[in-house]
Amino acid sequence: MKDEQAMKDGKVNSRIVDAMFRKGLASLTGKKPPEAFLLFFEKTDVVGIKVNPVGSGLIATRLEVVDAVISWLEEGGIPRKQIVIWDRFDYMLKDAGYTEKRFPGIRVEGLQTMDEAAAEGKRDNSRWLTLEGCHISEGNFDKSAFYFADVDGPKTKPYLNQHVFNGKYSYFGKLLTKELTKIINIPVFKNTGNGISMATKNLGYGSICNTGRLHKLLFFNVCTEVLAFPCLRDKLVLNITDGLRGQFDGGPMPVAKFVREYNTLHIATDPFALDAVCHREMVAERKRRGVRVNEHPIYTEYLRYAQKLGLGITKSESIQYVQI
Amino acid sequence: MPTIPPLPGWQVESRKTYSAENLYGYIDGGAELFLEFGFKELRVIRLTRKKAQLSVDMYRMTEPLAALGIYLAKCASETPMAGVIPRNSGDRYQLAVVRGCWFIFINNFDGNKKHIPLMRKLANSFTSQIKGQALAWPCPLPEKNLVQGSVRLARGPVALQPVYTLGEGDILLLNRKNWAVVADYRANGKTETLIRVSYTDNKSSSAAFTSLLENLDPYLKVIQKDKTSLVFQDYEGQYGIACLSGSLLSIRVHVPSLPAT
Repeated sequence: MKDEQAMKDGKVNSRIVDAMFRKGLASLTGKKPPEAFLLFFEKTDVVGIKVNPVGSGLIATRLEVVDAVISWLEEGGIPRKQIVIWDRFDYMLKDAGYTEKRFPGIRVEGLQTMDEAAAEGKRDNSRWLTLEGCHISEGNFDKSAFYFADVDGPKTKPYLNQHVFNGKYSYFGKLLTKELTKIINIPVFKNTGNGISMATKNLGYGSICNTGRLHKLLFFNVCTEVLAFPCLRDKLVLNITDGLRGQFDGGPMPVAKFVREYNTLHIATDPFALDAVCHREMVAERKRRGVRVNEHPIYTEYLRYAQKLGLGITKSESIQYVQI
Repeated sequence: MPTIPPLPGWQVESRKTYSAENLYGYIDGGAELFLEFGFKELRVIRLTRKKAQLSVDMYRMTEPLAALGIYLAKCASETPMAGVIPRNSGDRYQLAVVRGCWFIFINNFDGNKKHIPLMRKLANSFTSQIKGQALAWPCPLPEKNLVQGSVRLARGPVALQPVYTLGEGDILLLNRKNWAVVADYRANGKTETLIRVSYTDNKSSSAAFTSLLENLDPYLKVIQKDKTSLVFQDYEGQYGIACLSGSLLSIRVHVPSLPAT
């Protein structure tokens, strides 16, 4: 979906965004939004909306896109108390404007907290570290559901503050394993080096703890393997890549110079197909904008890996891509 | 540490400091590049005036070349802002500035043009407090057909990622110590890229060349190799030519066709 009027001079037209979402949904499902709702949900579902709040003020998931999704869910009969906006870090959600004041009646939940002041050395560790030496968010993670990788993180307090656990296990949030019955994934349209940080990374790195150790050695593979777990695979029903703004270089950190209004929403049921399409689009846009890009196949290997595992479709000839 | 000049009407909302240990907390997934070049600390200052918000991210790097390397990696083609004295590149959303060991981002989140004079003032004030110095590239580059503004620096595999994949990890044994210089050359409508590393001695450059031969990316097909040269073809049908000469290792990639001889 593309509409040049959706965002202009930094201001979002929520009416247009809502219309884009509904038009895209209708095109994706072949049904009007109320009937499309029935394809994905029951009224008893507890629906988690995974946003990307990193880069608040610049390239985080726009609140207006989430508004459109919530409005559709409510129309379908899901009460607001059964909707949870979530991310891994509570403070990032707040910074990006995801507060219970802005979204009354809806739970806004970070899987973990992190004491920024302690991380900066300005405060002692008493606000996040228990007397037993554990992170206060430890109980938010499910020790029976974990992603194991034979890679260790640093055994330091700053790492523990940020990642809740050290060691070789990355546990899933209990929110995912125990509470949510459906997930809607709303990443943003941005690059990470030569790859993209969109649908699969938003979920892959946002659902587990102790991820710092994974970036260097496993990076994109995490995006495939974490999404293979039932607590995600069986619950994820819809992915919407928020490209009202896009970041075409410098990512994943927000770099304003490379952030531009892009006025697109990409909607798909398959996060791997979505990332495959968006990766190609990102490369084309980067070339068009004169950004140096390395097209080595290694940066899309995780997508082929996902197809091999039967998790999604990534061959372009097998993806039906409709542009509106 | 550069200090903030008086800014009537603006308030300092927060000041944060990040070390190498927790930089990841500020730039999720982006810290590696800074660490690779040589990072000491980051100071982030958030300024507010009613609803307007600006932030200043001041990265102190280990040496001036490290700051320049980050600057070149982050600003792509340079677009200097009028009235900003130090080397800079930016627009109404963000201004990147480099001077001495400091790399500074000044972010204007809503892109309001009214704040451009403030961005300019901050940049000039900060950098007037920092000692600058002229820098030479760490190894010589041919001038002929050089694409102006294309030169980049690298000190490890992360900085080389956007350029080319020669193999996994630190295949050129840069070790966050040796500098690679990268530049584009354009002739007859075609652009190729030169990666050049000047090692401390012949033994180190030989070790790097051996590492390249032994760990070459499996997507690259070796066409010819000997003790001081390597020719390969990549996944796009283009060629790469690596030559070892004393302590200098030069690698040309995206070469459209091989020379006749």
